[in-house]
Amino acid sequence: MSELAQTIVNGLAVGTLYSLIALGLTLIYGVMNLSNFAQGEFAMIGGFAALYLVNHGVSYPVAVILSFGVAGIIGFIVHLLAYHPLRKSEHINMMLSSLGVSLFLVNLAQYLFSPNPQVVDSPLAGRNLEVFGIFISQQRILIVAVSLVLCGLTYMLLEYTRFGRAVRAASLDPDTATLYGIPTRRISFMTFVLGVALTGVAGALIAPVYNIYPYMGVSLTTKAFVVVVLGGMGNVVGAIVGGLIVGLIESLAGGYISSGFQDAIVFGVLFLVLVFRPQGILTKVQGEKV
Amino acid sequence: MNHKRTLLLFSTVLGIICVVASLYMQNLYLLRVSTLAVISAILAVAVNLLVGYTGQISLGHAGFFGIGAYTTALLTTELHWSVWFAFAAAFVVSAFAGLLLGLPTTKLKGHFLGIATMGFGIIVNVVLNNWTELTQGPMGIRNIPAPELFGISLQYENYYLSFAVASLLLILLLVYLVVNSAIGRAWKGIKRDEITAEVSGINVYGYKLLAFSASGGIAGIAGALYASFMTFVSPETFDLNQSITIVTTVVLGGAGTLAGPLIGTGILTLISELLRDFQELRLIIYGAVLVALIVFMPQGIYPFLKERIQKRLSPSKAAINQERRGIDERDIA
Repeated sequence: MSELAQTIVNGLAVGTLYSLIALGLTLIYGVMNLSNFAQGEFAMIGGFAALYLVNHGVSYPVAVILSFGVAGIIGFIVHLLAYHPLRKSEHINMMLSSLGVSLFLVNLAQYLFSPNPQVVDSPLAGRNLEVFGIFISQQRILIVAVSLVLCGLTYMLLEYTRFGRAVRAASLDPDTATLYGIPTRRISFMTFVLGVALTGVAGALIAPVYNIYPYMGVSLTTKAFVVVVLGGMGNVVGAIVGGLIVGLIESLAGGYISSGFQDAIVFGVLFLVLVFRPQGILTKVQGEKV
Repeated sequence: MNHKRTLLLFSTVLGIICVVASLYMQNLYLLRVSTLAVISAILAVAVNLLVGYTGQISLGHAGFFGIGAYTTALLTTELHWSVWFAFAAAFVVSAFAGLLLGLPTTKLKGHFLGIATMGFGIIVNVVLNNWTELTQGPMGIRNIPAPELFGISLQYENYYLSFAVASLLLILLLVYLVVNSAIGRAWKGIKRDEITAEVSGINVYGYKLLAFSASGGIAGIAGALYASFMTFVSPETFDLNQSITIVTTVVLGGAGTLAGPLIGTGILTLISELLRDFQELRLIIYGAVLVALIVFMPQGIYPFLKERIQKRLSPSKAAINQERRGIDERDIA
C-alpha cells in the first residue's frame, strides 16, 4: 500500500514538471503554430545555467530565478534567427528549423560543458520529509511547489491581463487579431520567450534530483508532446492536468510493469488518445472549417 | 513532353554509369560513405512519398528502417533464410507495419500526425532495445550475410555499392511511374486539399493507407540493405535522430520532387564529411547550417536551384511558373 502511495507521489512530482514544460510548449503552439522540438533543450539550458551559477558561488534559489532569464534570452535569439524569418512559410519548415536548433544547442552544451551527467548542489539535497510513511525529498516538494505556482501565475496572466487577452486572441485567429490592432509579431516573441523561460526554470528545478547532461532535453521534449496532445494542443489547463496524468502513468508503468518499456507504454497511451480523442481529453470537439 | 523524355533518357544513362562506375571504386572509406548515402537516399525517397506527394508528415521512419533491418537480420541469422527471401520479407513486414500505423493515424493531420508517428518510432526503438530474447537488446545482431548475385558475393564493398545504386534507381523508377499514375494524382489531390479530394470521389483513407504502406515498405528495403551491408545491427541506429534526419533530408532537398531527396542526401552527406575535421564543433556547425538552409531556402534546394537556372535560361517561362505557383499558394492559404 505504502509502495503504491510512494509511486503515485513520485509520479505526481515528476508530473508537475512535465506540466510546466508542456505549458510552455502549448503556449508556443497556440500562438506560433509551431511544434517546438527544441523545447526540452531549454530545460537543458536552464539546468546548465543553474549548474554554472551554483559552481560560481551563486546560491541555488537565485540560480533558479536567473535560469528563467538565461533561457528567456537564448529563446529570444533563437526566435529571432530561426523562427521569425519562417513565420510565413509552411509549418513543417519551422518545425524542421526547431530540430536544427535542438541539434545545435545539444552539441553546443556538449562542447562548452561536458557530455557527462553532472549534479547541481542544492541546500535541500538529501533531506526527506516523512508523511504517513511516505518519503518525499524536500527538493521534490520544492519542484511541485514552484511548478504549481508558475502554472497558476501563467494561467492568471493569460486569463486576467491585457497581455493574456492578446495572446489568446493571437492564438485564436492571428489575422483577425492583427486587424484589431494586436501586435501579433511582438506577442509571438513574448510568448515564445515566456514559454521557453518557464521550461528553463523546470530544468533548473530537476538539476539537483536528476543529473544534468546535454541530451536530457530530448526525452523531455517527447514527454511534453505527449502531455500537450493529451491535454489538447493549445489548451493551457489541459497541459497542466495532462502533465500530472503522464507523470502518473510513467511512474506506475515503471514501478509495476517494466521500467524498460516505460516510454513505450507512455506512447501507447498517446496512441489511444490520438485514436479515440484526437482533440485531447479536455477540449470540446470542433468541426473543421472548409 | 519531348523534353521530359530526353531528361528521362539522360537520367537513365547517368544512373547506369553510376552503377558501373561503382564497380571500379577502390577507396574503402569512400565506398562506405557512398553506400550509406545511397541507403539514406532510399529512406528519403520513402519519406518523400508521404511528405512530398501525399502531404503527410512522418517523424518515425527510423521505425520502418529498423523493422526492415531486424527482419533481415533475424531471418538470415536465426532461421538461415536466403538473403533474397529475407529482403522480400523485410519489404512485406515493413509495408504491413506501415499499414498498421496508418490504420489509426490516417485520421490525424499535421502536428498530431507528426507526434503520433514520432511515438511509433520511439516504441519500435524501445522494443528493439528491451525485447532481448528476440533482438538481443543493445548488444545487437552480428554476422548478417551479404547476398549473392549471379554467383558473385556482394560482400565486397564495390559490388555492394553498385547493387545499392541499382536498387535506388529501380525504386526511383517505380516511384516515378506510380507518382505519375492515377495513384499519384490522388495523392497530390490529398496533399492540396483533403476535403476537395474527398468530394471529388477520391478514397482519401485508402490512398493514405497505400502511401503509408508503400513508404514503410521502401524504408524496410533500406533497412534490409543496411543490415546486410553492415553485417551488424543494433537499436541505436534506429532512433528518433535518424527519423528526424530523414525528414530533414527530404525537405532540404525539395519535397515532392523526384530529385529532391537525392540532392538532399548528397548535400547533407557532403556537409557532414566536410565538417569531419572540426571534430567536436562538427554537429554544432551542422545544426547551424541546417537552420540557415531552411531559413534561406524554405522551398528546398532543388526547387531553389531549378528556379534560378530557369530564370537565367528562359526568363519568360520562369515568370510564368512563378506566377502559377503564386496562385497555388493563394489557393492553399
